[in-house]
Amino acid sequence: MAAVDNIMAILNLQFTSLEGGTQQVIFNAGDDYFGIDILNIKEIIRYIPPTKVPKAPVFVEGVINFRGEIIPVLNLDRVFGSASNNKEYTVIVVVETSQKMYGLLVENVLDIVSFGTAEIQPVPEFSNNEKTQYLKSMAKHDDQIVLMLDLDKLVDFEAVEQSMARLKASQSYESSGKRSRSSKNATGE
Amino acid sequence: MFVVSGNNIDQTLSRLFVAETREQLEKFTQILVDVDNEPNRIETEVHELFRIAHNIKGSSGMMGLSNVKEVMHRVENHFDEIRQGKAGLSSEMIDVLLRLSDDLLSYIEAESWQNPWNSQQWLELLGFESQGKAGLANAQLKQALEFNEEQAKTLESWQSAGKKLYRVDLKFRQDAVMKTVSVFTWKKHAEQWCSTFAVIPAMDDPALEQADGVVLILQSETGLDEQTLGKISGYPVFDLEKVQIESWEYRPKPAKPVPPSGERAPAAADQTIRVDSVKIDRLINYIGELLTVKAGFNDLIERQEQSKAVWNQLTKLVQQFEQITSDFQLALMELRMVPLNQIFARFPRIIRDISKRLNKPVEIEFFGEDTEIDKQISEKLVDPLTHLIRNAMDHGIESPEKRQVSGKPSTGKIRLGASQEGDYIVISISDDGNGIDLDKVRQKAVKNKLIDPSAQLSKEEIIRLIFAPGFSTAEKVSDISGRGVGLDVVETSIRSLKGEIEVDSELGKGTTFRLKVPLTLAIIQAFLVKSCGQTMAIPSVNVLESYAIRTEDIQNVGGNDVFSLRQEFVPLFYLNRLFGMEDDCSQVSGPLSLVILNRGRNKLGLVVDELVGQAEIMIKQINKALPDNPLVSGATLLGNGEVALILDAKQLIAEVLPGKVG
Repeated sequence: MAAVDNIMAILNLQFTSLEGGTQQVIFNAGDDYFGIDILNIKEIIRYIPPTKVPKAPVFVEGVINFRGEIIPVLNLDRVFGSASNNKEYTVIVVVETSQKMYGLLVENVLDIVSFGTAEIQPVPEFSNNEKTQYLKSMAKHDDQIVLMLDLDKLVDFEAVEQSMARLKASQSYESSGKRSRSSKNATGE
Repeated sequence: MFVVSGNNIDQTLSRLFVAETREQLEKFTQILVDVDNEPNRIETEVHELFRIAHNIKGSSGMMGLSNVKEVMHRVENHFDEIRQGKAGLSSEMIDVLLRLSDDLLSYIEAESWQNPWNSQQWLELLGFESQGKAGLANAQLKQALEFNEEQAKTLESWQSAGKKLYRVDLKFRQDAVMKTVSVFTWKKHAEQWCSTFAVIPAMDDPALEQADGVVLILQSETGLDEQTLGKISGYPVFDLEKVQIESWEYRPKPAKPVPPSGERAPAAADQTIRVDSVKIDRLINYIGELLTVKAGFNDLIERQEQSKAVWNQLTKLVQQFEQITSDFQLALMELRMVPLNQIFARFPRIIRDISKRLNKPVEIEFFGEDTEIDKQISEKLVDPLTHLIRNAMDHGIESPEKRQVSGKPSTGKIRLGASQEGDYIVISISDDGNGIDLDKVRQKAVKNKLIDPSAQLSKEEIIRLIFAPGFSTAEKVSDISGRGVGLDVVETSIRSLKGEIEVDSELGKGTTFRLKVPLTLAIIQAFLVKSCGQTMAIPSVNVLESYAIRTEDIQNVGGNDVFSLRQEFVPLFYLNRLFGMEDDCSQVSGPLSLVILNRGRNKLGLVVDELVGQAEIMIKQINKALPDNPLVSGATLLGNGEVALILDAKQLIAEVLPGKVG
């Protein structure tokens, strides 16, 4: 755990000394690598168990106290339909967008990467747009595709719920052929 | 005229002026209404009225609002004359002064100082037009000219085309007759050199014969020289006492309608609070104590040792620290508390206006107006209370004739009061009117399909129907209370304050509304319970009692678990089901914990894993990233840092017991 604290301290320090630009905090969820614009990040904090909220959408893990503010915490894995129960979340990335503040449950933060404008590409139109609808753009980093999240889309809960329902429908169709894939061993090494 | 540009006035000064003047004008209004009710009070109150006029004159002068200063100077003079016994204060004059006060208040609250106050009408209404004393610009005394849109357009286009306009003021002799003819003759003469754009009042307006003076607007393509002007004005016409011509420019009037009476549109919530300095002193004392504790901590740190003595000292300091911070918190909350008379004070005025319109004499009586309440809540009470008072006057109190027939004094009575009950303030509004006619309510509810014609309802249940959306017992829509909004709006706003509303009514005797609202929105008394390992808070106002029951005490009626509470079956709801977890999180064996919630006459037994107890909790709103959740009205932080949700008991009951009335 001390290592986590250390990384967090370094990352948080970097946030304060950075001067804008297109820097992305990279983390993984499921099989994918995601990026969040550093300017949207309030702080990366250690995981604290959220307080469950009745009748909240399944991807809302609950609420936490962040600097005196009660904010919801979202589980990205659930949004993308790849949640498994035995994951160990270590950090919560607290983001702010359009005056809304929320936390994203993350297994581990991997890196901060700067991208030049030329490196950033628009998201191609995939046939399955349930995942791509949350993306702003994408870029390549060390042979890995980094998907840059559109934080505003994630707090449009109604749309997220609808999309999750569609995703579920398509997955149950897939898994009728093959066994549902397990999305384990996805820790940042 | 001296006009101050917006940026010349310091914002702080501006706010201060607005707050102060608002307070003064409210007092002014209040006294005037009192005097109107009891005319002989003028002898004692005139000094205060004079003082207020004088104060506003002074402060508006400082703000550079010369128009306000001028009017207040007149008002002050008037009160001075009353003070010396040279003049009286008629009810009509009170009317004018009340409207003046409203108009001035809305002007001041707009805070757009670059637009001068349209004081003309007030000077005229106050009867100062003819005096024209020094210090008052002549132009201000003149009758304000009004043009319709088309005329205004024409004037603007002429002006931009460089044509010249002149304003002529014709003043008639006192005994003048056939003014229309005189004006016509004069106009004909003048039209040799220019054309007439408008005559005010119009030539065919009967008002012209009654007018002391007439205004003409003349238009000339090139402009008139001195000689021509002399020729025009020097033309002798019968009965004309004075002719004055000056070049004139059309200036569009800033659109600012004057509201007809005391019911102004509510101004944006006032962000400032006037605080008794004693309260501030108390806070400063607490800070002093905190500094002493801080010094104590420093002292301990410097000793750099771990001993029993240091430990004891530390324990003592922490205790002190806790004590002071909680006192400090209370004192801080106290700052937000304002006496209710700050909002009650406006009601005599509203009652006076409505009373005149409805021709129903009504007097108002207050009690407990010193009761203090959170300013934020007090502001939100104004509209519901106004609504209830209007209702009482419109539907409750009968006409004087009817009252006499039923042996009541012809003057109706409204009692408005407040009292504190624990952490709640109860505000009651009673009238001695006709009361609620249960049969009428019932018929109406059936007609509006709110209830089934065969429904068996108790008196309370029928009365509660008046809070149903779209319900109104008045036969016809009136402009007093029938504004398309019903009592449901009142109830909604009281509920948004986490309060309750109760009605008690007796046919022929009157109606009483009781509004129970929390003292403050920030801190409430709550009942803490545990379910699924999570602590939750329920506002104590909704908790009737709590029990430890055995499984055998639970009966099953028609597939639903119920508990028999003093011969009454109370439906049960298991709180853990709220989280979609049936049994896997409750490993409770032995007695069950039960919290009885109540909402009106509906009760619900909430089965929880553990009763934690009562606590004062600070309500925090959940960040709006989480959409509104009807079951959760907020959250609070527990001593151990855990976030506890505050459950909305009413919504919970509505969820579990759908289809219940109210």
